[in-house]
Amino acid sequence: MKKLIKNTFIIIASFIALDYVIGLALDMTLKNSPDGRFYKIQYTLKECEEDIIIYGSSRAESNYVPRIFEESLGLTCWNSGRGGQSLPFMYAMNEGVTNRHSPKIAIINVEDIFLEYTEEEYSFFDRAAGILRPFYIKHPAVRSIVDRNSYAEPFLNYSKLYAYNSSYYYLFRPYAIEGLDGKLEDDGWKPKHGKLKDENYEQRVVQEKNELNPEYVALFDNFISSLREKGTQVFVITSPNYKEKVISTKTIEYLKNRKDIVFIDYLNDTRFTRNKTFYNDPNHMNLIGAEAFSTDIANKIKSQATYLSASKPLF
Amino acid sequence: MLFNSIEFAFFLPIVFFIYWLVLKNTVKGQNIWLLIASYFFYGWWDWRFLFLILFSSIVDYTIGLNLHKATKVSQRKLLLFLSVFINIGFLCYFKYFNFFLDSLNDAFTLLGKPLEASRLSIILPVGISFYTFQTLSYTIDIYKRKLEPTKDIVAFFTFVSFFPQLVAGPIERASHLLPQFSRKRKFSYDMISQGGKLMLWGLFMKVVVADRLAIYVDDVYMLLERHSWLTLFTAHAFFAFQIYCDFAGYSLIAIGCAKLFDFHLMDNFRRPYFATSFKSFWSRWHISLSTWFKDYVYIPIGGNRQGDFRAGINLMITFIISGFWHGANWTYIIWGALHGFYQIMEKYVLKFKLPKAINWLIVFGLTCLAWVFFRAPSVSDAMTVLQRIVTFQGTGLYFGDKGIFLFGVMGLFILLLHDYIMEFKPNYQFLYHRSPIVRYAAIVILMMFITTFGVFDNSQFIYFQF
Repeated sequence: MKKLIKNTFIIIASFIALDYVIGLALDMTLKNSPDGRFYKIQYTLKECEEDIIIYGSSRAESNYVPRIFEESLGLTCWNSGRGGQSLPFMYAMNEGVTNRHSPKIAIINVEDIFLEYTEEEYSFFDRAAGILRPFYIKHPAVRSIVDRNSYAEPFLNYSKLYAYNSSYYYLFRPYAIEGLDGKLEDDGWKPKHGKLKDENYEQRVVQEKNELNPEYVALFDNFISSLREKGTQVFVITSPNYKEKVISTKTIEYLKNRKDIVFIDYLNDTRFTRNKTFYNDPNHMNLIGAEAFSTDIANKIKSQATYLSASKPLF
Repeated sequence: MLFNSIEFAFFLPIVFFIYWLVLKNTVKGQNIWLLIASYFFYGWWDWRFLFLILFSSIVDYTIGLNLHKATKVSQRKLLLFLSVFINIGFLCYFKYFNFFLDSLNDAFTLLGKPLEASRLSIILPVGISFYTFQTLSYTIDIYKRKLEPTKDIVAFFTFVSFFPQLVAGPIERASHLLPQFSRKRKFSYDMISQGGKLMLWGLFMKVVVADRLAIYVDDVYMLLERHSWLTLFTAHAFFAFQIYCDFAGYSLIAIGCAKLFDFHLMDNFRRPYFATSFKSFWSRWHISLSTWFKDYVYIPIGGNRQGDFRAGINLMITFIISGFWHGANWTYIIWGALHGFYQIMEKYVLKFKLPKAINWLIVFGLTCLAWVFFRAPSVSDAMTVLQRIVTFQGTGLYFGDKGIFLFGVMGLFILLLHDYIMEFKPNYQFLYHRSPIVRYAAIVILMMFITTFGVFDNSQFIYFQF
């Protein structure tokens, strides 16, 4: 038994030592990341002080052009959107932002069934935890989302190998190829350069009757409240999808009834849903579409009588 | 409780140290402790189903004793029937009730008179297929007078619920495992070290290879009809390794875990994808189940004692039942039937010799083809996949998340390297190398690899559902 304990100790000690040393190297790699998704999260959590912050998933990341908001509204803008993510990720980003900064405007891109029960095999909490773990120790803002995954997260994340689990490809990629997740000068925007194929796309009609997920609703409520407490004007926007018509969903009804946000619904805006040249794929706009869409949103924000009601003068 | 969970990481050392430090001198005490641990392990998932294991244990313990005492053939047959009826009855109710109902509904709908019967909301108790077969082997062996029943109720109950192999095997024979509950156990560093290494490699197979490949395969299955033949082909080649690593990984953890308590379970997988014939494949794949079917289904229905034609039919029946054991769906039945067909063709029809490499390619290719039915949620989905592959529909290879794809391929490469060494160069195994430095380094690197590339979220052992 003594031999077993001694040898087990040697193995565990070696593992911890190597974990620590490799962890230091990984932290340095992340810290010095030239661009890419980890750079973007790090910037959002730690540095961004732009007037407008855009939150959302891949649609936010591709469809919203910060430059256009800056030129149109005269405010600085940062797009914190991340593909494949949803509310839990946005929530964590916003925690990081609002803990140290009061944005004047927040633009939150949502999907038509954003707050409803979905049968996702890999939940959005899991997805968010996967990408946020490297920030767990240094950025308490992300902990509430990661911790939801397992009660053991506070302990496990002391292992850097665990925290960086499966992140290596995207951690190292920016060192080899820059700009794949958007260029630095684009302020978080990740333009898509493709166009829709020549094939005939069928009209899609969405009419979902799924109930709202109370956990998501509560999270969304906290998200909005934390922004409102900072005096931030919140615009919640639905992006259009090509040839998709949304008749009704519980999320849309819920958003329409909220009084503390400005809800702008593009789901059935035929200027966008019918224009094939605007799309990279049926759910994401290409460069031309993103610019047209962002211009339209900027104009709508401008037309809001209260859009300049942020805490500090703008110019 | 899952083997790859935090709970298990706490549970196992507690059970281990109390077993060896506090109860080392008492076999009875160790058995009671293992029984408590096993019920706790199972109850962690759903305590209500503990009553099912308890009931099954009581029934087979009692029937076993009475079978041994009974002298009249009719009485013995009745007792055996009772054991089979109760065990298979539970299995049918929990696993197959809704399937039978759906099939009946479909049949009546075809006749133009749909049934109004509605499905039952039944939760499938984890591991029911495994412990049912294990206890059945006990009563059948006593009936055949191959085994003496045990009077030690604790030993028998622990045999049925032994936590390392309770939920996904290997399906042990009473004649092999039960006597181990009666002998004195000896603490040996080498045995425990070997157990630990098996567990570690099993965990690697499960979380680094199986769970990683599963992400890609599941992703492809979300939009089957949109993917190219190459993507579907790749996904099913990946699935072949996913299911191998999932199940063989679990079996290795179970075997290694049992070794920690000085129990020896049977080998369950021996690098099946190196097989160059279907006969060889089935002597390497899920050995505990295939030998169970051979002993308790194939041979009792006649085996090869009544000529080639009848032997072929017996083989087909056995494989169809084996397929059905895997799941209550026509896809599993077709999977079983395909393997039955392969075996019959190999054994009785295509007797010509081909180079080994060609044989390997044929066996692996046809095995992957059968996996399409195993993985597809329905027969029509499986046909969609096969149609797209055979007619080369679509172009390009979908990678999904490139990181996931890349890590999956990397894990697969390490697995193949390991299996190659095990198969052809067993002296080169790093985990069992003569040099302690190499051994230790291999263990630490493997641990780091698991922590770095393992999938720890949302993972379930595929075989739990069977």
